[in-house]
Amino acid sequence: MIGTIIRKEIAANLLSYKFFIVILLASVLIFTSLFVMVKDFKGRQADYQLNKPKSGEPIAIIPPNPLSIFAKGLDDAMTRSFGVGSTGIDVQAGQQSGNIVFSFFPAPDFLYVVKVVLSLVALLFGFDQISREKEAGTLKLMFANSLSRASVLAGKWLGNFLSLAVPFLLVTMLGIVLMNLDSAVHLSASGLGRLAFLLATSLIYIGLFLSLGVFISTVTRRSASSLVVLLFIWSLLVFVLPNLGTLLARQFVDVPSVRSLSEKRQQIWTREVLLAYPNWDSWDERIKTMNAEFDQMEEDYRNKFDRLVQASKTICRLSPAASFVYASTEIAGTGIGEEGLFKREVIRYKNRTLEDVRSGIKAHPAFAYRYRSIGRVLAEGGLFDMAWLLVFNIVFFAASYVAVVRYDVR
Amino acid sequence: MLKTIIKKELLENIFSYRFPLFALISILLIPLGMYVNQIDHNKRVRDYNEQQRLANEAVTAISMQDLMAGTVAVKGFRPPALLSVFAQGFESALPRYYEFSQDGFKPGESSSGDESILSVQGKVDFVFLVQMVISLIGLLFAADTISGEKESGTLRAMLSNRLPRDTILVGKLFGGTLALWIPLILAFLLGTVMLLLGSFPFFSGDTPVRLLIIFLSTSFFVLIYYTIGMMISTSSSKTRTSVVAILLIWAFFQLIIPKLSDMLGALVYPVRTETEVSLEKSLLAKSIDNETAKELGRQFDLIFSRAREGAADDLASPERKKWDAVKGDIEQRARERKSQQISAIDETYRQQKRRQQNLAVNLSLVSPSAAFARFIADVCGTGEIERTKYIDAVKAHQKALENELFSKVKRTVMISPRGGTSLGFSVQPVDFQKLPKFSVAPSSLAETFKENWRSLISLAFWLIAPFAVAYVRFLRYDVR
Repeated sequence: MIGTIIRKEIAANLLSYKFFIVILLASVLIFTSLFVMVKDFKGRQADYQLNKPKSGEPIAIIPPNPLSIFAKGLDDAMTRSFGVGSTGIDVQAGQQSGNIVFSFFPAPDFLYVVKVVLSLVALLFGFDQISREKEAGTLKLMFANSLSRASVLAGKWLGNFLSLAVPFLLVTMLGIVLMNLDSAVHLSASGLGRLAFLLATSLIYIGLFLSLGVFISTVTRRSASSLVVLLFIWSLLVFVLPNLGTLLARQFVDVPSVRSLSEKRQQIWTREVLLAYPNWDSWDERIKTMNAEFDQMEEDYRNKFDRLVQASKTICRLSPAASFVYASTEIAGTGIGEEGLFKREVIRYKNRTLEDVRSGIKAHPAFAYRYRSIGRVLAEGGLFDMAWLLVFNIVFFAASYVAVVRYDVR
Repeated sequence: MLKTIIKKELLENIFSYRFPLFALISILLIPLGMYVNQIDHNKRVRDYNEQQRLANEAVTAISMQDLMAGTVAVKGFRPPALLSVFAQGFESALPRYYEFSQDGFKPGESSSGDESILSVQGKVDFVFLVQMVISLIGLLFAADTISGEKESGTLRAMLSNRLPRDTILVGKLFGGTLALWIPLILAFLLGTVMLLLGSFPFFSGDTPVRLLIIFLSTSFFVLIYYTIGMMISTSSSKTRTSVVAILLIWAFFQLIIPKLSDMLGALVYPVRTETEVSLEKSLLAKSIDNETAKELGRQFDLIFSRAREGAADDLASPERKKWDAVKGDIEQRARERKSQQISAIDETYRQQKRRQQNLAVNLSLVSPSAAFARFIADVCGTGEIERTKYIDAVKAHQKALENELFSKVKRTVMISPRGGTSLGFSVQPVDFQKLPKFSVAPSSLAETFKENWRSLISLAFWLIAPFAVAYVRFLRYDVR
């Protein structure tokens, strides 16, 4: 019986004008986003080619990540060049890729399109599932047959999910194929694997909003009011909660400002250099202690900052949209976790280079960074976020089941 | 009669189930957004003051040796814009400082650098909320003004009275907008009070006027979106259809047009990246310097080859006098050539970029929401004007420093034709205390209006045209 309902839902969608407009909209957006982001990626790649260190130069810089086309995340922060100097790491910001004019509106990556627009589209598919049939009077007829309410709900969900997911996947894959025709963008096999995970996460996310739509449609009487309520919830989940998290976290965790850091730095410098001025013989030793203390300070700051980030992540996860952003940026290798590891690697590189300088080696090895494997990404939080999205999905679906069972079809 | 309709519409909206939702959202969101941004702003001001102090200390520590070695770099910081609390605009994308050296200036880190981790979720400011959330709510409130009354049959009853259709339309427009406006003004006031409690310098300069402009244009913006919603409502006979149409139009205006215009701009007028251009400039400078050094070496040999021993160091010898003249001449020509060619590169690049930007900006103005965002960003000092002024100030400062600092040490590099390089210096005293200070002139309100006339026209168009369409459609509306 479920098969019949699924078929009916798909046919109803295919025949409605809403379906075509919505799919057209989503396709235009996805293609636009891929196009813009490929252009941005190429600009950053050209910058990398110019900024690339000559062999032997102690500069840590990595090429832009091709998956940043889909989820830009922190890729801009990671592809800066970190030069190693005698007193620490010198962050070069000269890598002003392309145009800051375009930073006026948020980066339109695939992630943003799914997060904002496709969630809205999923709501549009879900908002009138029950209330419309009730308004049209067909719900009565359906329930008059020997048909369990659960299978009606499941059939409706699956039918709508398929009519949403299939065009979405087709359009995205077409976009990826077209993108691969461009020789500048090269996705490796593992990159494609990550992309598959990214798409899977997007599907879970879209399904979640579909469930939410179905749920609200079972608790409201009219489809127009269900849509309005849904839009309010949508704006809360997508825009408001993710930003609230950072604010709240700031209240709980205190991070030192530039001022206190620079004061401490100065104190150390005064103690080690100014006060010890005539004492030349222990010079090497002193520079070493100074560097070690600076590192300690950086480490402290980094730890505090990590705590702030963790707190804000925990709070933000109240919203599935935030969870989705965390999961997909980590999968793409542009997330917060990846950035932390990268920074640590840069610090390690700096220490190694300074050791080399002290022991008189002139040519420094080139910096290399290996992204975490997808297995590690999933183990270190990616899977949790995906599961968290699934939990939201199940909760909304269960809630709509309860509501449908009690639904008054008259 | 108009009054009655306005009153009816206002009350109907206020007592509807969506009004408390809207009021809650705006009263919660808007002050919250301001509060978050204020904390952020205060932190940036503290950092700015500290870094300014450090930079000043660094300037007093410069020595003549550094200057001769050519390693002096002076930093000029841009103060955070006060009203970025309302509109972030370019605030976090602009470099926090520029570094000036004798080879020119280069941008420092943007403030989105280190803390970018926290902005993975995107930033929310007042303008963003109005643009994304309030606009959607305005459209939704308007979605059933006409079609809803038709569905419930009250439109027929209303029109059977002696009541012209335009009165109904105008009454509904103002009543509905008023209902939206009340929570908005509450939220705005609440937010401002919160800012004041957080020691926001409310009465400094023309800040109150700017706040008033922000509020008035926001009200205007709500009116525009309500009118667009009404236009859609008069064009469809069912509320559900109009709601779907509204969502599409919303997505088109807020998400597609701004990005599509950037894309078209980049497609029609592609430009190189900043790094490529600065590389080209430094290559050019190097090659000219090299040529000059070779030329100097050749002339030196020519003049002093047959002179007596020590003539080069004797200021009174005729060869030395001739050499001084020749050297001054060659260096002068090289300087002129260098600055001419570099400014030619700069100028072409600037023009290319300007063309691309103009196209992107003008196309984006098709959307009232982009026009609104650009205008408010300029009022808040974080928009296009500020960006242009910043870079102009940087250029002027580079010139001033060149006069006061970098030109005081002249390095003469000579490459002799027989091989070998020699380096000579001529030094004039520099007063490091009296170096010019970097500052960006704030833009006046008159400038803001002058630069934004296109945005304002776009906003006016989106008010008048939808109203005209709604009026015509409503006159022909079949109420049965």
